[in-house]
Amino acid sequence: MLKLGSIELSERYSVPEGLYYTRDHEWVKLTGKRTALIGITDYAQRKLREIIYVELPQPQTRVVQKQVIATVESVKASVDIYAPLTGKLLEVNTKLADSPELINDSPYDDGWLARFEIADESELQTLMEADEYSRYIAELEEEAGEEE
Amino acid sequence: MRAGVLISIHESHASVLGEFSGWRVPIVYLGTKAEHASVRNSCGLFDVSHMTRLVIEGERAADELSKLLTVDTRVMKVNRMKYSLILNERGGIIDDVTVSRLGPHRYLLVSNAVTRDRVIDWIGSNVIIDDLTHDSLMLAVQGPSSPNVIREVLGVKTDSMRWFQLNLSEYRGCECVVSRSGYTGEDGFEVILIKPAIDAATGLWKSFVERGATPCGLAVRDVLRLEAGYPLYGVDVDESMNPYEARLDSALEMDRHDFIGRGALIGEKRIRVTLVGLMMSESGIPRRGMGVYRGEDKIGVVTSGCLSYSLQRGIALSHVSPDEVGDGRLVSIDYRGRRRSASIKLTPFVERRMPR
Repeated sequence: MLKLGSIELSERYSVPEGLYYTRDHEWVKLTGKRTALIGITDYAQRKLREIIYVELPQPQTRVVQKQVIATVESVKASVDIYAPLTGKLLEVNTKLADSPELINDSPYDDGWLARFEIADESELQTLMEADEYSRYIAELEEEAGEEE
Repeated sequence: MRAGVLISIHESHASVLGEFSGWRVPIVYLGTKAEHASVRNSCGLFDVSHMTRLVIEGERAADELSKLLTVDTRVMKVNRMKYSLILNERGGIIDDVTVSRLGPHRYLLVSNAVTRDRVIDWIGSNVIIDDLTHDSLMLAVQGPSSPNVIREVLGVKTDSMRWFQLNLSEYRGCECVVSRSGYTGEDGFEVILIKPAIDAATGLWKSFVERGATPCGLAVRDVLRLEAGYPLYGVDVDESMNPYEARLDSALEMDRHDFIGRGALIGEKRIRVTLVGLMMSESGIPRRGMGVYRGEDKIGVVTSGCLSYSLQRGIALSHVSPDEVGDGRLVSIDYRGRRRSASIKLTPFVERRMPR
């Protein structure tokens, strides 16, 4: 996800426990042994602000980790979304076509992007857990603060 | 960073604040989409105090301004406003402005925040200017129900005001310049309060809100002006472009008067690039910097773009090669590595609805 420059700080970002996170601000929520929901984090949606369009991939697409799978556009900017893991997109959240703002309103629930079949569970080890991701975005905020 | 007199209201009520041309400004109030609907359907309220406001006064004001601007200020009636350009000697656009005649020897120039120093330097060597930017408040009240709001709050008889006409009055003891004008493509008014006490300034903002005007941020202003097909100086137009390239030549009064830059525009019209509109035929939102193509040939670049809420489609302004200009011509845009089809549009994307 590209850098979005400085915005207002002072907000706390929601980082639910039990999810896996990428450095590009995607999240992975396991729903079965090899299935998961994926989406973008509260931090990402707040940086983007008002989301107005989501370009979703075709379901049943096979993807490799870090491949571009979607584009999210806000009033302010547009960003590519990367596959957090290697696997197959089983289903995409078609509600986002008419209501892209679901990502702003509910980034970890109603605003999910795709249902995903994980090819290799060991790849989860390349992702961050909640505490590590929290520290990561705190560092990003600190850097952004210094630039101002 | 500079801030207008209403900054404390914005700090406590806007949902996003940010920086624009060195000013701290509200970017979003309730939400860009809702703010857009208010301006297109009823009435929106903007604090545009970051715009540069200069008063030019004196016996020579009319003559000197007439040399500095592309419109003939000498023949303007009092209480009339005109859209004008300021050109350099080569015909390059220094800024686009509005000029209003407040009295026989008194004019008001409103120019862009981004060109502030350049404009003051350029015209200040010829005329004496009183920079009111930091001593005045400027609000834009825009939308089909704006006449009611203006009438109720300011007691101005809006029915008798034509587009680009002024009304000089007082509000709580300070000079108040109301013009029927704006940059949204809707009917609307701009209100300048000169040297207002803080109470008068906040009182005016609150009165507009109480009468139904929806506070708006600068983000939606960009969408509205793009939908109306208006360029933003410093983004779509700059000093390397002449009025023909920017398709702003309707602001030239070539036969009426001599002005700086006129000589360079006579004779051979140098057109290296043309500012045109682009409307997406497919999904995706064009953004500044994206390439514009015909087939495999790159013919231009997007200078600003957004999702039009009115059309539910991506729209943009872009610089394209003059050979490629034609209303409805099909082009494609490099949308994040994928080609998306679009067409050139030489008229506003959303019909302008200002009164005659």
